[in-house]
Amino acid sequence: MAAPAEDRDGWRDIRAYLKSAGFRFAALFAVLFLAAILGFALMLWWGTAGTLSRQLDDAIRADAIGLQEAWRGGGTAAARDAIGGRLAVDIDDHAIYLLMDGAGNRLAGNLDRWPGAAEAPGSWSGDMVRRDGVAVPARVYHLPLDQGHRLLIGRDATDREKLRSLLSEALLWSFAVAVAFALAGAAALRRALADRLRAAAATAGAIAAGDLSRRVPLSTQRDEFDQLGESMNAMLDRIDQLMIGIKGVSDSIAHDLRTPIARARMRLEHALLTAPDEESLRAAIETTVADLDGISRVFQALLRIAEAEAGARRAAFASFDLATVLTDAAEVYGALAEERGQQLETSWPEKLTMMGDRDMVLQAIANLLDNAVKFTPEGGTIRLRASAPARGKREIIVRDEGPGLAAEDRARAGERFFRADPSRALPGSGLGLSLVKAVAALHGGELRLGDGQAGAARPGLEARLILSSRA
Amino acid sequence: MPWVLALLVFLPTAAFAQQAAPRLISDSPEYCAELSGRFSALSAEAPAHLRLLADEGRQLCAEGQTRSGIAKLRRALKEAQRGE
Repeated sequence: MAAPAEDRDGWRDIRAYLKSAGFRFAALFAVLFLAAILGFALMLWWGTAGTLSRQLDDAIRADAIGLQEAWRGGGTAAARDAIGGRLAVDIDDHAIYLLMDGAGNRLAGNLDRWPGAAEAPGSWSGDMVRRDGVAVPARVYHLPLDQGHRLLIGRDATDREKLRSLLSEALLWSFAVAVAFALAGAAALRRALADRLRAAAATAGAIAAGDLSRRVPLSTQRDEFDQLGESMNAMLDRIDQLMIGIKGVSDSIAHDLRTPIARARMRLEHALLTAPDEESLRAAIETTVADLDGISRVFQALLRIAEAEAGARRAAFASFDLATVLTDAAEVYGALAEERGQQLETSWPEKLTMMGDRDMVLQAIANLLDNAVKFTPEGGTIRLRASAPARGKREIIVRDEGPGLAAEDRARAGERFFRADPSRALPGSGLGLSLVKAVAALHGGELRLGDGQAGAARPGLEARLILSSRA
Repeated sequence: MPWVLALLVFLPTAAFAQQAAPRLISDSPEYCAELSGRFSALSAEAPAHLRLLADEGRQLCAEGQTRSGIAKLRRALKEAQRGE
């Protein structure tokens, strides 16, 4: 009873082998190789046996024209003379002629009767004739003449048939050798492909099993397989970085949210145990609700960053005017800056159309302005500018007069929950620039941070948000 | 067994085809005589070596080696016509 199961397994293996890319590439190679050999064989045949056949037909045709001229010039007698003359000097003994009248009487030539295959007037045929009792191949042409007369002109085709036979045999053997080479070459190609892909497959298998440290080994050949391996390794490095990032975010969430949650709990517990009246208890609950709203905002920001990074919102991209978005943002943050004794200077063209997610871009600009207002001292100036520096590009620059960011802090500024030392005392979650960076990436652009005034005691921060205006 | 049947059918058919094929008659003693007559008509102007070649052809025909004789006579005729 085990035999049928084994048969099924064997059949499955064969089907898997036939479906494999290695086999298909190898089969393609074999087919192309054999097609090339077949083309070569056809050219060889056309150039040798074909040429000989065409020469034979040309000689018969020329002979037919000559004899037809003789017939037209002198009738039966002239044709008989011409045939006799031609046969008399046919040293090779290859010529075949037969002239017959309308009644079927033989008038001239060296054939005893008309061959059956050449009955149709104007027809060419390959027939057999007997020479010394032996059948030999012949090529003949039936030329119809006046008054029911007809003329057969032909040549002994033994030499041509011998060449054909020799050539056929040689080509058949050559084809058999070519098939053997094609099969051997295909097998070698399949093996070479399998060998080169084995390392990548083993790496992918190890990673699937959980070993993320494995990488595809590269050879010194720098071929397409090495390029594939390099791409896979780059992809794995990126996945590794993302995994580390996710772990960092998880740690940051646990760390940054533990304190406000613990504080809210303590406040509620304290109020529950010590509140002298209902009003004190209500005040404690309201404060806690505000704290919990802050936590909720952090999660909302995290979700928006994740959404932007996933690119899911790209499907909702639409054309909008960036100038209008900038005006809206300037209106809100201009009022806020004024409250804090700051000035907001703006500058952008009348129209700045682009494709993208309007809400996300507005959120990114708002985050940049929020930071600028937060860090610029009273009496300071915040500059908001936008332009189209190149075809398909939009640039938004927010410059403040705050303490700026150290070079090492700028490199980490896009990380979630990262806050530079001078800003720890100020309110914020450390997610603002992360979202800006994610929005820039979503729009095929980037966020560049630099000094507002290089060399100054308070250099300020210049955030340059570059976006692609095409989807 | 099928190949035996095929052979039994094929062999008589092939033999019949060979029998039925038209026969070339330019290798007969009569044709030898015809060529000899043609050369005789030209022999007055033909050089001696060609007359000798034709004689050899006639001799071979007389000895029954018709094809060889015809070949020599044809060569002599061709050379004689070329010299005319």
